[in-house]
Amino acid sequence: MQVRVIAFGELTEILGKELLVDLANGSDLFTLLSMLESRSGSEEGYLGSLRVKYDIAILVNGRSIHFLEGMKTRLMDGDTVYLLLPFAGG
Amino acid sequence: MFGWNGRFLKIDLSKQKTIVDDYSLDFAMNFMGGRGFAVKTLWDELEHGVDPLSPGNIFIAATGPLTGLALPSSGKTVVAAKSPLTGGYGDGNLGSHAAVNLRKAGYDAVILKGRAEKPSYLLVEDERVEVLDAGDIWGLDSFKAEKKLLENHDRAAGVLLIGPAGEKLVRFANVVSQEGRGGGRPGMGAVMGSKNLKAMVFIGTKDVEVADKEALKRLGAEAYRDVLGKENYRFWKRQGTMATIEWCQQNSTLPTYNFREGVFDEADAISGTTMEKVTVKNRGCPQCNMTCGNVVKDFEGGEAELDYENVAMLGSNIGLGDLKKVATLNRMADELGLDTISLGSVIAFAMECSEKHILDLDLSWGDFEGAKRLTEDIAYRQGVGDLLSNGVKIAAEKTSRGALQWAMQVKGLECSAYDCHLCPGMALSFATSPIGAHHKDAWIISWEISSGMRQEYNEAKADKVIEFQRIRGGMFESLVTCRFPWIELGFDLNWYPRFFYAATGVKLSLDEIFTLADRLYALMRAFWVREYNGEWGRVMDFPPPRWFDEPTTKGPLKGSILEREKYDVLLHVYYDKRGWDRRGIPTKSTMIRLGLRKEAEELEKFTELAE
Repeated sequence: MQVRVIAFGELTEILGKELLVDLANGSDLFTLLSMLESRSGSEEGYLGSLRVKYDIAILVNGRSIHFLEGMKTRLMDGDTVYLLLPFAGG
Repeated sequence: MFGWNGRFLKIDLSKQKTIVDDYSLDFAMNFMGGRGFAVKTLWDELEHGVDPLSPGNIFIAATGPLTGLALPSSGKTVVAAKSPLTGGYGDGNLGSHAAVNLRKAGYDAVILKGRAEKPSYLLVEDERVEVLDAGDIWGLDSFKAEKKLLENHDRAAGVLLIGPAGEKLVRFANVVSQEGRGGGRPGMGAVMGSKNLKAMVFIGTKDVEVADKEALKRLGAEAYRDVLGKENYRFWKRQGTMATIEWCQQNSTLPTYNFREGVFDEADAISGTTMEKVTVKNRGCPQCNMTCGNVVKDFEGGEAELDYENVAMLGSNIGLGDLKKVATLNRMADELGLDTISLGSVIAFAMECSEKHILDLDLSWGDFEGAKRLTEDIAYRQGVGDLLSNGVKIAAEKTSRGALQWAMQVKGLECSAYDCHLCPGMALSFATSPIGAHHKDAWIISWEISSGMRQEYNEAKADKVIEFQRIRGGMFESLVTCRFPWIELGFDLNWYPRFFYAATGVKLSLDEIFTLADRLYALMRAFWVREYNGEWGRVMDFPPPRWFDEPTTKGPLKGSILEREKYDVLLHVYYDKRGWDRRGIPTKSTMIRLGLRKEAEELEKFTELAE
């Protein structure tokens, strides 16, 4: 299956703005992020210098993973995963 | 005194009298500067009940002990007065060479009373202070007027001025500088206009005396380097605050169609990512190495400085999904001297009234030509522009009381660009901001959303609002330096007591600064209550009804709504923590604890204070 990943802020410097990622059916978010980490050459649990668990807010199809299953959220073909940073504006 | 100049420049424009007034270290330690100096001066010297557009109002431009020093982003000034938009305490903050030059001329604030006989401008060149004829520049847009003043005086001068909207006394006319910097949302520009004052030109050649020159130099250099080394510095330089468009869209909090929705179909067309492909310049305030002003060529080929608030309010909020067109409206507002947030809100209000056939306007959502025409009409108070120049609250009251339902304001000041259908903490922030609905003081929405508990109305939200009010609305608005290094890049707050010590020689902890902030908040609240003749209640601290009554209908969070009973409880928690009573008025013991005993006794003439 294929999911679309859209990056925000400094993450665009290591991932680009948008990428399509192929995954085994039924993969969860943790798997997707591990792939992105290794692709970007980052340490485990990091994308660039940003800690995946703490510094990055993740939305799947517009819903925060806080409202879903967190890192265990299962992805489906065509899903959009948005990687946001907590701070913006103001 | 070190750090502070210890001097106010006071000018009576009616009597044509100028005096230089010294203030004490004790006064400085209690009120700090900027907003603190402003509210204390207004409390002490403004006659209660004065018409804000009459000669009796007092206009203040005030800096603080760190303003203008070689420290990150220190080139900022507060502008304040009793507000013609809200009838309460009004202020704003803008970056300008004027802030630096005012300090180098030897003053910390300019305080203006009365009214000049004819259109005039103020020239301050160190000790030389003159009120000069503005015949040549009255009526000019702010870009042209500023150019002329710089040519006539000194290219390195600092200018604070108004556009035609301020001259015409539009209630949300602001003070502008440097073709894109602006502040004073609640009509500070109209107050200048009502005094027949087009501009203030500052030229300062002296160095501010500081306690430890060498330490300050070292600290400053270290601090600037620290800012440059921040992780997201590079991304910040690319998009500045415009990155917020995407962030808000993704979190369903982008104001759309007069705050009906939190998502906009054309958000990508007005995003920071779209903007950075067409940015032609970057500029900002003096003393800043993380300038936030990204300039694009607008639809008509002019140059417009963009930031999040302008683009959201004049873009998604009015249904306009074209960055260059939004940029044109933005530039027009800057030239005319209109606050872009209130302008966007008022245009959206007009579009909604047109849609509901309450105003006969033929103005549809996203109508660029219509929005342009309306902008001019508002600035010059022509046609329906005259009605709208009053701001959404008064315009709604004059149109039909039902229209208040979609007047997105608190205390008369239009909400800035965060839709709060599912952000009770940010709604509390808007509701309790000391000038009316504005995000400057307690912009907690980022924390609220990333906390994972955005739908809660818990104590943590009240705590966060107070924490941010202390830092943003208290500390930064009285030291007077910009909050962006801290909030945008993560510059450590602990630098500020170190700057303060090197500048003034006084040791002050962050906690002591926060107590000072609490004092300012209590006094600003007391000022409102006094000007409202004691007729005050908790309803004044409620966000607009739309967020309670009309759920969103689009996006992943459609159906979102605020709940009145839960909000009321949250508000009560906020009051308790602040030591304010059920009406939202500081108790007598709170005021005494904060060193405001005299002020409490004065306030008691207008309303009974709880113990």
